[in-house]
Amino acid sequence: MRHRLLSLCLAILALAVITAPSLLKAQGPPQQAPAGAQAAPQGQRGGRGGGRGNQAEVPAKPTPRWPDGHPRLGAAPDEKGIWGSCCGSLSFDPTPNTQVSQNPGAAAQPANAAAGRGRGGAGGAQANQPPRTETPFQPWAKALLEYRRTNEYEPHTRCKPSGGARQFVTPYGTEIVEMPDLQRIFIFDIGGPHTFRTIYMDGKPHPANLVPSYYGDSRGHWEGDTLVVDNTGFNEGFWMDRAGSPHTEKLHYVERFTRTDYNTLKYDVTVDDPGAYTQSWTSSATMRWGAGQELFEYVCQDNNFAPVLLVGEADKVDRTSIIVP
Amino acid sequence: MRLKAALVFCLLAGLFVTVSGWAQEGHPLTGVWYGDWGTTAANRNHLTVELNWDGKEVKGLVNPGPESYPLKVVTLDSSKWTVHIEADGKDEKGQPAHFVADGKLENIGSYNRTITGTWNFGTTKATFKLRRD
Repeated sequence: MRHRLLSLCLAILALAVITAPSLLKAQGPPQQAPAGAQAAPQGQRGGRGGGRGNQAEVPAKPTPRWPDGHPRLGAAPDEKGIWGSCCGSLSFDPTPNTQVSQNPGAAAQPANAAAGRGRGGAGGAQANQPPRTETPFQPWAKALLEYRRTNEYEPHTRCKPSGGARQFVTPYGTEIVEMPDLQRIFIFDIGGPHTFRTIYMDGKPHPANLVPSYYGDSRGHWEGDTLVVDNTGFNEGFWMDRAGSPHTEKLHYVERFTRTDYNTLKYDVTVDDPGAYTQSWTSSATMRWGAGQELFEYVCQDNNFAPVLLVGEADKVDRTSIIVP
Repeated sequence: MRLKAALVFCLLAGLFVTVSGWAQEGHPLTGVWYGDWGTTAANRNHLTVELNWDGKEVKGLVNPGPESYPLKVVTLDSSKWTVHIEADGKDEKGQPAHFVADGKLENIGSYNRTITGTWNFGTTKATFKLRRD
């Protein structure tokens, strides 16, 4: 009898030793968990931000162009490709001076540290804007950002759309589809609820009395080789970036997309939100081309563990559904 | 007539649900708050407060409707997440009264965050609790 008990104890101990590392890993700090984390089939994620497959970067080539001379921002008819998919979809790390970041107001880092060291590895973003501490937050916005850093209960993790620049921080990359005949450009992301936004290229202004929405209203035009997109009409239902920068419905920003070569898309954004910031400010990022990759079916609501993983220090979270509060 | 009233109600209800769904992650005070105030646990008065951040200050209304009155002062101390509210309204007997409320904003990451504190007027000491909807 005593021998049996001893054997049982040893078996339990062995089991604990075997499983402890994985349990500890699963309980890691919230910021380690990918937003909207859910189990994805092997070979589809390709690491953080990876799309289907994980192919090597294509050697540098000139910027592909449309017959009218404009840079082609998406894939050509005979190819596949998405932005930010290879080694990181513009992930953000708030650690100052050690990490690349793309988010508005993100921590600065040495210029030579920008490439290839993000959470997503090579292809991460480059921030050349003031350090996070210098972002012109209004006091409440700064306090709210600090709160969010310890309570990462982000709408994105609850399968809400990620509007604004946050779209490029969603996992698994983004796809840009240009449709000159329709005078529209679509940007698809799948890391959240599989959504997209439309950039109207018809030269018309923003509609009056916009109903606030996650993606707002985007109006684009070309300035040389740069696509300039004016955005307004956002709701407050999303965080502006992965770090949790607050915004209000007064948010207005201008994006500039420049495909500097085949593999590189430079992204600059000027943020203007008098509701949350004392002045406008800018940030930059670089997205890398994931040749041969494409977006895949991802259903955030399926088996979504993020709400549990990202609650942080919040002692309670009200929600009507375990998936979408 | 009943059908018309029902349609209007549905329209207003739908509008309210939509509006309440917009402002969820911006300024922590923005939104419609429901709750009560009173001098004892048994003596409670319904309280609805609508707050809106315009980029510079918070403005608001108590009990929107025919008996509503605007808030004169609403300040948020984001270092402590405390809220100070002042308004000229009416007490339980319908008499004019100057309210001074001080509360603590809690559960900020939730849609349904709360403010609890004191709701005083004249020499009357009361408490209040509001839950954002």
